[in-house]
Amino acid sequence: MDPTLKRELVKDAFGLGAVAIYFCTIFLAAFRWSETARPLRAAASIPLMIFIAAYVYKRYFAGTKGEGNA
Amino acid sequence: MGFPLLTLLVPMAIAWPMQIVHCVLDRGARETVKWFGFALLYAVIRELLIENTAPVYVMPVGMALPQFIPVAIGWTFAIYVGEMVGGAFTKGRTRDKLPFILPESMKASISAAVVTCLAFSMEAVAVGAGWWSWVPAVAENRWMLHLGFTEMPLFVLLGWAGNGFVYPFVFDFLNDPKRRERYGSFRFLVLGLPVFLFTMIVWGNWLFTTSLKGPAL
Repeated sequence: MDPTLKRELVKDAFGLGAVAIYFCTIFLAAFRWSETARPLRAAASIPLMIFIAAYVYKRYFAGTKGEGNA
Repeated sequence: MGFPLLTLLVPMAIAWPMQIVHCVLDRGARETVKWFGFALLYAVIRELLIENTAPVYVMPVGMALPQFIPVAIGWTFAIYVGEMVGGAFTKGRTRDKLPFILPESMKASISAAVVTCLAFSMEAVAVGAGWWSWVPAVAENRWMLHLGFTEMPLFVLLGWAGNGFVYPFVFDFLNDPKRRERYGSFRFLVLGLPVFLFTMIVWGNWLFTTSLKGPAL
């Protein structure tokens, strides 16, 4: 694996890992600790998910000639 | 559940250090200390101002930590997510390529949008999970959004958006290499803190007092 890409992946493992922990917390709160409207509460995370997906796309798939941007 | 806020504090206690590692790998230790140090200072001052002037929410009684500590960490976490995403989209767009304050503004605007989305996801579950509750004056105000599945004050979302914009903008503005040469190391305290304080007082108080006038939406 390209060392630069490897470094970026390690970096994002921490950055995106932190966000993943946040999402897990929100989903647990929505589905387990909330008493009403559980799917809707979880669905409130969708706008943030779109941003995170755009971040991943921008970092790894939006580069020229398929090289990614990382 | 004995102490519901733990269900938020424990994951944040893992996620926040992970963000710090990300920042160290991305910018180096010196910049990380600067970014997180001033972010914490900003968040603590903001929270103490809110707590002591216009408290809008109440955290569960019995928390061992003073309320401003987890709140400041939460703010810092949210702003860093915005910073991370905004930074990816504006990478390479420096002052050399774009005029005036456009580089900072672009990044800060994306950051504000991300922080608002994060706030929306969190506010949707927070009251139901028992993480905090709104004081009665807020719960009855006209800016309360009644979404069917939950209720959240609109001004709180705007407050999150404001933080998501102000901190990255001011930090990048003051951290610009040319300003670094011009104003030296103390520019953050000399120039940054008054801007932060002014924003908090004007933005926070205006939003809060406006929200208390009139019937519910």
